[in-house]
Amino acid sequence: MLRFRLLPGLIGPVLAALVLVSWPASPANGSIVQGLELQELVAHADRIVLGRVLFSESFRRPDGQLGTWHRVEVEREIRGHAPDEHEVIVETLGGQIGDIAMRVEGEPSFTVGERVVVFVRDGGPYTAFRPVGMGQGVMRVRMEQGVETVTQNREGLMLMRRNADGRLERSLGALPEKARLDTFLSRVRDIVEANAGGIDE
Amino acid sequence: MSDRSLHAAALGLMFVAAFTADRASAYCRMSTDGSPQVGDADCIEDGALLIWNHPCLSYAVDFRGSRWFENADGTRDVATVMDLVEQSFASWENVDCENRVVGSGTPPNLIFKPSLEPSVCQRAEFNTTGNVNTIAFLDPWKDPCSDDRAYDPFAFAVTVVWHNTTTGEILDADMMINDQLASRFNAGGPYGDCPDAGCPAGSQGVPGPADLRSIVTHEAGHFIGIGHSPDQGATMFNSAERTSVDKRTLATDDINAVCDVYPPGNLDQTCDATPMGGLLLNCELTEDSEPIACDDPASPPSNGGCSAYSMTQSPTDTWALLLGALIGLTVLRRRPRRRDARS
Repeated sequence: MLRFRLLPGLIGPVLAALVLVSWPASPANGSIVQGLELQELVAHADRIVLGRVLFSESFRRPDGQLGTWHRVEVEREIRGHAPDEHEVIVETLGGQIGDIAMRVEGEPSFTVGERVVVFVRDGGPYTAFRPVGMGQGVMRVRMEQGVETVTQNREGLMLMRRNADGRLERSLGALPEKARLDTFLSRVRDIVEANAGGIDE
Repeated sequence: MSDRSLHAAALGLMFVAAFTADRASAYCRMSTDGSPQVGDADCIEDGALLIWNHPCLSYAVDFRGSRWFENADGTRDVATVMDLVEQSFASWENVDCENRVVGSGTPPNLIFKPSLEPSVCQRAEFNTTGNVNTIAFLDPWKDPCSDDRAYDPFAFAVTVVWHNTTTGEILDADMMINDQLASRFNAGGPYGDCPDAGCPAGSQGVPGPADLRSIVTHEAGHFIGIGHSPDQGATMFNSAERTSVDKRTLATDDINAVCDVYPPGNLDQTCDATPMGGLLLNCELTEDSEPIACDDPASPPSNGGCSAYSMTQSPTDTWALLLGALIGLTVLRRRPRRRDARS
């Protein structure tokens, strides 16, 4: 019979086992999107900022679809600079007006007040920016035991990429695991400096 | 039995229990609340779950078909595309809910009635005066009504689901497929109807085809309100390679999803599949062949200003969030953290 005094010793291994079992079973997917490595995410981003989401509002797009603008107060700029502007407007596809909503799996959502690192591309004729690679371009910042960490958004995303033969295979994306915010930002800054000028289309 | 053996047995049982529980209800459903995913959380099913209240559904493939399917004379082979799309949707119908296997028997209460006539609609819109659940292949990969690229260049396909925010009732769903040639700057084709053994590899500079049925079957899951699944064998998971045709065939987890969401009922082939507001196959031209105008584009809010458009986060919501956060923090302080049972 299992003696009671042994139970505390079991807790650690059991918890570790549960974490190991549940960890690989967690990726989310939805829209089928090409997975981007960090180098590519940086290369395709016109602006990269650390900021806080101020508010979100939905609107009707010219094609009849709904979109949502998210105002992000810039805390730190890693790539791109807009003089006299302390906010970045990030546009996502999908939104809600009244009791009608349009949802696109893979588009990121934001919570007012949360801190994020966003990799965004120029939105063309609009002044709003778009996340690069749908939700891949959004990293959420959390404070965990006094340490700021960053986690890539995987909401509704199914990441795949081509191998050398051109075949599609599963992609881990730019940030497969949670990282320290300061370490991550310095990695991004290194890539930006190493590839100044971005990517030519 | 020694203490060490008991330790091992207990650990083994915990493993099995955790793994089995996870697989038993792995799938997720789409919901009205698009709250952000945090860390490795799995299902986010806050709010009402998305569902077709009258799951007798029609859809139509856009008449332009796909550039990757051509007839011998070089014209677009729309018939083949329609056939492949039909097979993909049908895979969600052709399951036996009683035995939870692929095949005939007790089907879910879900019937697809594809339009025999193609749509003339590359717009993923919802109207009160008529609709079509359109399946369109876009090249260029952009919305025809705007100059900007609404769809992300790295997306292969997106499914747009219109729904009621209170009830979760799905009102309309449209599937847009990136029909461009893939490059280092964008995702896309070529696509094909790959043999069961898998899609052929590409050659130097030309990627091999992706299996269209696998992509459409996956997207059709979203069409009926099913989200992702952490089950690696599921159609709604992301483990299949481009060469694989695994996603054509539903796994047990996918079957559980469709049978749980649309349990066997009394729908039959005589059901009315007319979309909400009536069937409108052509969303681009009027009856007089005049182009249906796009809406005027809205301008994003200026920095620091307010907008005339409805806000998704009202002040009341903000207070509710704050109150919820306070309650949540109190609960968290009183009990150890645990993963969601579905995780």
